[in-house]
Amino acid sequence: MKLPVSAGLLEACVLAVVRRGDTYGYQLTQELGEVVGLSESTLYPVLRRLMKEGALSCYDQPVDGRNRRYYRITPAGEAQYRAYIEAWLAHKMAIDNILLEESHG
Amino acid sequence: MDRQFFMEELARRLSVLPPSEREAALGFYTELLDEAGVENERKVLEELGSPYQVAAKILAEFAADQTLGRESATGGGGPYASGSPRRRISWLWYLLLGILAAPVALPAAVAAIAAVVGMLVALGVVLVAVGAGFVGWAGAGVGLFIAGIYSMAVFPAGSITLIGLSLMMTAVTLLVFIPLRYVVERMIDLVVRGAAYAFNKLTGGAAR
Repeated sequence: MKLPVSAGLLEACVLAVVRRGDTYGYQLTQELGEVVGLSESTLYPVLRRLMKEGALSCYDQPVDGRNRRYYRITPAGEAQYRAYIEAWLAHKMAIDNILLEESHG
Repeated sequence: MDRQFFMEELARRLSVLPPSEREAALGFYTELLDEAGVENERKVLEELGSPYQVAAKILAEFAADQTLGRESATGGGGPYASGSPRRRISWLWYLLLGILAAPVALPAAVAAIAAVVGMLVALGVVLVAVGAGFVGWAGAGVGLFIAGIYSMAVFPAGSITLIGLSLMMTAVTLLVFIPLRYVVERMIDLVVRGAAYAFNKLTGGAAR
């Protein structure tokens, strides 16, 4: 069973993957697809938003006679990533408290 | 669903976007399918789902840019830019497109479009009526002024009265113009908000 992932969390996931090294679209779908599922939350709008916000930049590189667009994280994206991580840790702890707490009768 | 169909339908649905936006989106999906290669193409297409839903998400994202006054590739503008009439009109335009692209039941979409069109027609009629009244009033002022000048030689006292009356009418015209403009702008705003509300109601889940 897959839980739905919110738009903000998806942005955080994309930032986290790109942060490990410049990435192209298909590679991103492969790394995220397992968790997120492309049909529920399309990757392109998220990438577009991150680019517009200046969190990602991109450049083209020819591969096998066509262009492959690589995405790279910017300093603004780094900052955004760290803010997401902070929010995530707080969120995760709160959810864990509800989901995993054993009752001590 | 084959690749050609997906790309053609997507291109058709996105044809309303500015060319640069459209090219960027189509380029992304073309690259994705190229990278997947023959062996994985089918799987990627399956995961992407219907081109209509993909297009609806892209259009919704673009419309969100317009409404929130976010920086857009087709033109920046500060926080006040979203209030200008041109922005409002393009906003309304994308709203209609969003309704068309959203995967809602056809009757609901038709009803929503009918409502929006109805409001626009009502607004248009009111604008024309008010405009005609305004032009009529201003025209009467000018006419009286000309009549006053003409009758000057024959009827000096009457002509001065006429000229005075026409100047008064001109003054009233100018006085009325400012609140009138305000009221008309409010009305346009109201219609746009109403349309946005209808749109949100319809696509609340689907557009997200």
